[in-house]
Amino acid sequence: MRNLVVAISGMNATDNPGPGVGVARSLRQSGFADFRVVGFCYGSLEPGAYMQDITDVSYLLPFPSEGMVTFLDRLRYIHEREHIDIIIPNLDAELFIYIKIKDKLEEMGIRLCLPTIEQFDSRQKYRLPDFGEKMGFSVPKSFRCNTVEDLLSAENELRYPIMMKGNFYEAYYAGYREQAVTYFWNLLAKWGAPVIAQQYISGGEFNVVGVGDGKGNLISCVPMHKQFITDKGKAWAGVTIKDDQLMDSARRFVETTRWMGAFELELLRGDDGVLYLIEINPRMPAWVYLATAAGENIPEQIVQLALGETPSQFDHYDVGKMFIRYSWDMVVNQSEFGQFSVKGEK
Amino acid sequence: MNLVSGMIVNDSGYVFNSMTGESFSINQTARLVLTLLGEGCSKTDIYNRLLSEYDVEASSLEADVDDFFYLLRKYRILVD
Repeated sequence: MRNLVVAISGMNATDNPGPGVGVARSLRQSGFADFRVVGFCYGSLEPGAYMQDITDVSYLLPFPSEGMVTFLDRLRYIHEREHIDIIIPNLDAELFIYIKIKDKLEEMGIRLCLPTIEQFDSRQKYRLPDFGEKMGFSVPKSFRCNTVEDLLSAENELRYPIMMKGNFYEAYYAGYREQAVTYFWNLLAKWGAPVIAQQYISGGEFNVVGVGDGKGNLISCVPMHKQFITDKGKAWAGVTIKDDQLMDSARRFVETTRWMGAFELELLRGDDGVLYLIEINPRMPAWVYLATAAGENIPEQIVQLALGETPSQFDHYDVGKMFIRYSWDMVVNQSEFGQFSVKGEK
Repeated sequence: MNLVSGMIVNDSGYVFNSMTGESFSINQTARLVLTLLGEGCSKTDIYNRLLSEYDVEASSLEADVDDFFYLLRKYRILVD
């Protein structure tokens, strides 16, 4: 039997990291004996492409915004060479296109474990208030802003400080109107419309990574408390915790949506003691390796679900397991970088 | 009034609350208070024990104990 070939995106292990390196690292420690990791990158400076113990081979992909045909053509080209069994897309901005072309990829023999388009749409940031109400979660007041005028009218309902959030990524604390307007333009330019203006709630931030089987069952779930947060709002250190309320939130989310695949809930326990749902990410987070190290290999379960197998059941995870992210200067030969930049593969 | 379940206190005075993920450093006196709370002692029991063990003014101790219990509640180490 030939090796399993898994293509993984999100190899941008930067200060705003994608999950790809953590996913590949988890799979290296999974029950799969032999497999190859194909790194999918959107830039030739994505560190995962140069990490020899993470990726076996890497390819540059066109941005999904260049269109479905261009994207699919590139995947077809790579598949002819690598014979991919599974793709694990890890970036919010590419998930929509992968859901749309899932059938075509399956015809090519490539399998994916993804939520449905309805599930994906239901948790969009701008739909969070409706979603929360339907599911019984407390959600901070959120307003969808396509223009500065929208932001100014949201001021009628919000008091400063507020949080300004990009359509896909990034969140900033805005203490006053001028700051909010600046963030509005920056986020609009970077991630497109809408930008979300959200009520600021003071409290502790918690994240939960989990997997749903598409039938309403929560297969695994690990909650984490952010111990150090970067200026981009990313966890730079965190610790696994045991909190029944967080576990119940994940269970309720999966039962109600019948979620298929990985997800991350971002929650905040306000100083008032109320647990607020801040965001739902339709994929694994960059800190997913912490869950693996604590005993729940979520990427392994995603591969099993994609293959149509029953996912491994993990009895428990270790509470109090910490991760501390760090930066490391990798040294790469110019020829290697040049080849990847010009040929788009290495 | 109970200590939150899943709290870990080690010999060096490091406290980890496994429910919230928060951690704290505490001194020897605070460690004694947490030990006594773990044994089911009331706030009055703890106050009396500290008064007998330490050379401290009663009024000053009362204020310190009140402050410490306020912090324990604030950080959700002590729950009602």
